[in-house]
Amino acid sequence: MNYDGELKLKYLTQVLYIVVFGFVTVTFVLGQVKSTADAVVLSDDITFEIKSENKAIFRRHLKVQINRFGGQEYGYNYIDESKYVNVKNVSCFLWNENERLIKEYKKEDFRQTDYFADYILYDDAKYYWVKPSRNTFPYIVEYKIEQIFKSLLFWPSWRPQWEIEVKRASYRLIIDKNLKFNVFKQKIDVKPEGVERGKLWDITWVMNDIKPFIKERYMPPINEIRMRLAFAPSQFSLEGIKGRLVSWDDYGDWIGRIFSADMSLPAEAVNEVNRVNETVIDPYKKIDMLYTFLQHYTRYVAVELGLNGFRPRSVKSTWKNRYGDCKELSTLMIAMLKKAGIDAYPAFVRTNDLGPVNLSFPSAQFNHVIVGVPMKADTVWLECTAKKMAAGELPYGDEGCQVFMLDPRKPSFVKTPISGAEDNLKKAILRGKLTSSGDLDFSGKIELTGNQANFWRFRYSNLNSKEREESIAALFRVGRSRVVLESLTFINLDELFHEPFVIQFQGNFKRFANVTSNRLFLNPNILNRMAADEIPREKDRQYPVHYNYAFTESDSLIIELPNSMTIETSPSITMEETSFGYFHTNYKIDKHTLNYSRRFVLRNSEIPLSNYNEYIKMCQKVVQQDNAQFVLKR
Amino acid sequence: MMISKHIFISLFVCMLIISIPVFSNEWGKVTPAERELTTVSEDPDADYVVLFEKGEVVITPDFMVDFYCHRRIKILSENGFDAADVEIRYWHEDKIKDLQAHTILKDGKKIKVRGKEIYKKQDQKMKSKVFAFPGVEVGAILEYRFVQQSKYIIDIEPWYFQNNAYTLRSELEVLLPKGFQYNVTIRNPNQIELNPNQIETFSAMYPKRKPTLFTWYAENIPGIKNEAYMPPLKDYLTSLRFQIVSYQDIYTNVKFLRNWTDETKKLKKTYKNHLKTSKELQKVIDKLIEKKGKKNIEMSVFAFVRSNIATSDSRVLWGKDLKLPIEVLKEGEGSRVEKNLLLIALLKQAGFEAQPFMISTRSNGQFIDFIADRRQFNHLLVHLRVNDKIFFLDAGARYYPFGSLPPDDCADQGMLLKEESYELKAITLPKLAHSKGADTKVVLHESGDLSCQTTLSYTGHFGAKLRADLAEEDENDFIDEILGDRFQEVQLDSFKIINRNLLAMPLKIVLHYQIKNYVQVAGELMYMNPSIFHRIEKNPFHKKSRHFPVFYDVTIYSKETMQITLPSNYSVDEVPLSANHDRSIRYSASYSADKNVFNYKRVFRIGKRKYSIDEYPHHRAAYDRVVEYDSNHIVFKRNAD
Repeated sequence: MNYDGELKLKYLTQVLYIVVFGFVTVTFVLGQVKSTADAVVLSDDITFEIKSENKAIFRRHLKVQINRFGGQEYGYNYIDESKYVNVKNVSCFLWNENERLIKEYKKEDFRQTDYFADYILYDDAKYYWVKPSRNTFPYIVEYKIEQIFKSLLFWPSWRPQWEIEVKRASYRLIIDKNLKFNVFKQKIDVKPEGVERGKLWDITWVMNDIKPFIKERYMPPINEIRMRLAFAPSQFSLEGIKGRLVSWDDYGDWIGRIFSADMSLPAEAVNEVNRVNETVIDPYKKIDMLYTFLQHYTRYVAVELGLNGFRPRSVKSTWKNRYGDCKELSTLMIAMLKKAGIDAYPAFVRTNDLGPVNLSFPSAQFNHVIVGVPMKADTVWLECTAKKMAAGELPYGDEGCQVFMLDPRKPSFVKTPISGAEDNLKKAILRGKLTSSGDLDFSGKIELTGNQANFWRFRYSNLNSKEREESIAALFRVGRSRVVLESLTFINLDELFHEPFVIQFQGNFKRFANVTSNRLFLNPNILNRMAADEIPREKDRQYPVHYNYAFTESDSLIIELPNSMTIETSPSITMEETSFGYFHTNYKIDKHTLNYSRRFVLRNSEIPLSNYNEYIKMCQKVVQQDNAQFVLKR
Repeated sequence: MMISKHIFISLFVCMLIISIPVFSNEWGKVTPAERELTTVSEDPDADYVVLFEKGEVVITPDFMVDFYCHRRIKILSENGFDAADVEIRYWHEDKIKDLQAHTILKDGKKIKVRGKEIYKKQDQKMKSKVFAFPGVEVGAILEYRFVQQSKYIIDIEPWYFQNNAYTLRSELEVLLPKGFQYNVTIRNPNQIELNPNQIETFSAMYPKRKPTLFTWYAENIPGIKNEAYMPPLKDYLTSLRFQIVSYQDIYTNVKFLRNWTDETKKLKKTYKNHLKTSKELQKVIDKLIEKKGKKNIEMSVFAFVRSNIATSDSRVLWGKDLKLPIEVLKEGEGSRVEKNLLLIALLKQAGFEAQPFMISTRSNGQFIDFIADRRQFNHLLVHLRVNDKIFFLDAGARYYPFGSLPPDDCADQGMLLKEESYELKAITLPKLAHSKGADTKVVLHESGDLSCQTTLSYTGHFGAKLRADLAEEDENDFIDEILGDRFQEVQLDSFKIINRNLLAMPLKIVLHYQIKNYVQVAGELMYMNPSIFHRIEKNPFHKKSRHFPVFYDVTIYSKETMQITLPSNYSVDEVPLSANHDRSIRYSASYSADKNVFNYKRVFRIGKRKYSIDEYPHHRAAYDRVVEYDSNHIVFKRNAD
């Protein structure tokens, strides 16, 4: 939505903030309130003053009242700094309950820490932080922050909602009238008030008494559901490279220019592609072979330095180093495919953990790159950072995303496929013979596909043979230390990722069944069992229940029972059917052989709020059933 | 003296130009054996192997330390690619020079890591250089070397001979010119064989005085990994610490090696201003006396510092960044060390004999008394004498009562800083029970539902841990978690938390609640597991063997009782055999019935903190038995009409 269409001008009297510092006691200048909550945000005022398309000043004035020990963390603040966002000034003031200044932290008192995730080798970002606290309550923490933004591409969103109540939050924007911008509203209903001052708009959004944002178990990504006002400039510049954000075509034009790595392949790479071209004709097979080659040839290493956060290094460099981040590995893949005569394009992804892309809001919303290979009938997707995934498969983070495919003829959004419950299968079959002392000789097979296979392949690849055995024993949810494995085989662990990943094992489980003088207790739910603590607890649920992907768990247990015993009690047969999934258990006994089956299917990764109670009931039933036992009597 | 020093330095600079570090394994020259190696027979799963690593300590003529490090590893599988990302951490005042790294491919081709591909990081006082080896493939050899220059001749870092991965050879050399006296300390020498050697050698750095070259090496060293329930890994690794004691020649006589007298003097000097009495402190004492009375004033002072002063996460133990007590008071905030210094000052102000007691916390590793180095310490406790009784206090541990310490503080020994001297001393604490209790009265309904009243109680470390959790969370959420983690369908009627702020008393939680479908009902029979709170379902030790002993934070005692009132027409059909064993873990489970009331009692006790590797199989087996006993069910039966 273009901001011009929405703006209603009003002349406002400029608000002056008077803050008195020093050791003078000032009665409630800071706006202290009576509250029983852990903490409350008294005010959170942001000013974003745009000087030009590559310079803006961000000022934040924040006051948080801490009422209890559990609220102390809300008084901590982390201020980012990177090549494009400099921290000019930052200070923090700690006030006691009488609003007397206890301590002032200047910029040099803030600690600085390099800021990047473990999977990144190096990033030039860092953050400033302090942790002011007191043990006498209430106290107030006040921050004054000033950051210089060197490009409007990083125009910060306004997120006025906290996990605690916010008494007042505001966002003031000072911008040249000639600079247009778009605003995107998410879960927020606030109208701006503006003042025209010469060449400038002075616009303010204000909200009072904002209810806390509530966190729940298995909730959708926070970005998707938290109040947010996002901004995108019509034009910006990053290191002299100008861009526009009026339409997605504009974004495509800019990112296309930024993303234009040197795509020429070195001679060895050309040889490799030629080898593939000579071996197969089918383009799908070519894609498969080249993708497999890439998986073995390269590894994921991310070095984020300034513009390199957007621009991939040359294909030759990635080839030589045999490493790169998502965009570099994708670029190498695209170059190889092109050499093989197959057109492929980078596809920009906003991964599911960040929530979906807002299609009506052209802006830099992406955090990942994959490769899209348009074929006649479909598109083959390649996640080039995955070492153990088949061509065409995507991890759940990339599934069902509107990705921005950078086809130079016409960049466009394409939705990636979503795997269904049957695609993500965990199927276990356990056969065995139970003795009257409760011991079980068994042989088992677990078959995994889709995201289930990805998870377990990754996990087992990082274990040595002893750890793998221990890990299989740990799959027996109870009494794992009494499991002795005689054999263990992995099929398709390091290759043939199109095929199911299969684990076969054989062994003995001492005292698998619990034995008393007259009875033997046998829980048939050996490998898959839901525990009580996996059930969401919210009585007044706010959000849908969110899983990473739909899945199927299928268990079969075929056990020869001891001849000397008869079945006294069996668990009930279950047939729980819902719109979002089902849970079935069944058994039959044939000549002292127990044949038990359990099938739990979650059809969709998200269970709507309207089905929450039904979902809880099903989970309770699953836990109850998973704890139920067969009781055999002598 | 000035002239001679200048000549000394000039000479040194010249020598630096002409001297080249001597490595036994030449840079970039891979041996045929290294090239052909594809697997390690002693560790067939190894994803990579350390072919060799060599450290060379050179004492320079200007009393600096140059530490040359050279490392070569081989990638044996794609899972070993992670070893190709390297981080070299070093003290911020040190310098890393001449960092070179390259990948040697299977065909012998070398790919250099370029200078611009080496990145610098800093986290407080530690710096890092990070880089990724290029062109990594299975069979590639990765090699790097660097020189770490330090001005602290007395702080030569220990050399650890073991790595995460299998190591074919690990070697340390020390080149020591004549005139230096030294000490060598080897920790855990029995794990691997070190081969010491020393020879007089030639060095361009010391052309006129043949220095001595000391060498230690170990070969075929298994990879070592952390295990659950163990103190810091470094306490178990074989390490060698080479310390320079002194230097003497005709012009110079310098003593380097620290001794505890000097070290403790430095500490006392650093804390001198922190331990002074003052009017401001007296005001605090007066206020406390006015409020709480004179009796047990030491406890009031402790409670004041512990509870009224917020604890920051600063880890500064000495130096200019350490706040003075008066600042801590004014700001209402201090690190654990700053709070303890304030506590000492206040106790002294109140007339007590209170002194700093330096420790290395358990998580920081064992304190070695014969290495006089104050950097071993990472925390300061309060040593207090009241009449003839000694107390160890930590005002930074918010939920521990007077006289008790959190497990991490319970080091075997520490250093007492007395007025005129110091004393190496063991920490003695009053016997504190670390216990968990669960007493439940249950009415069992024919439907299999339970109406329950439970009193949970926690003492010692468990009480402190729960109080800390409670402080972070909403009470209702906290109780919800206790019940929700255990039962799939539970309705809480009411709850009460007792002694939340009386730290010396057990923390108690009284719960009234209903559990649905807990008991499996089948016709006239009901099957019930009576241990609803303390039941152990998984043996925490799934590994058959361990490299290291098992260490618990504290000894553990837990007791659960349950009184079950059966439906009037039901009686007990079968109970499991009572359990009573006392091997490694003391465990008992007993059952009794009186009319339609059934009683269950479970006791679990881990009576010591350490179980050796030899004891491990028994301990693991004992846990197995506990898991088995805890899965027992009682069978109730409807009486015939």
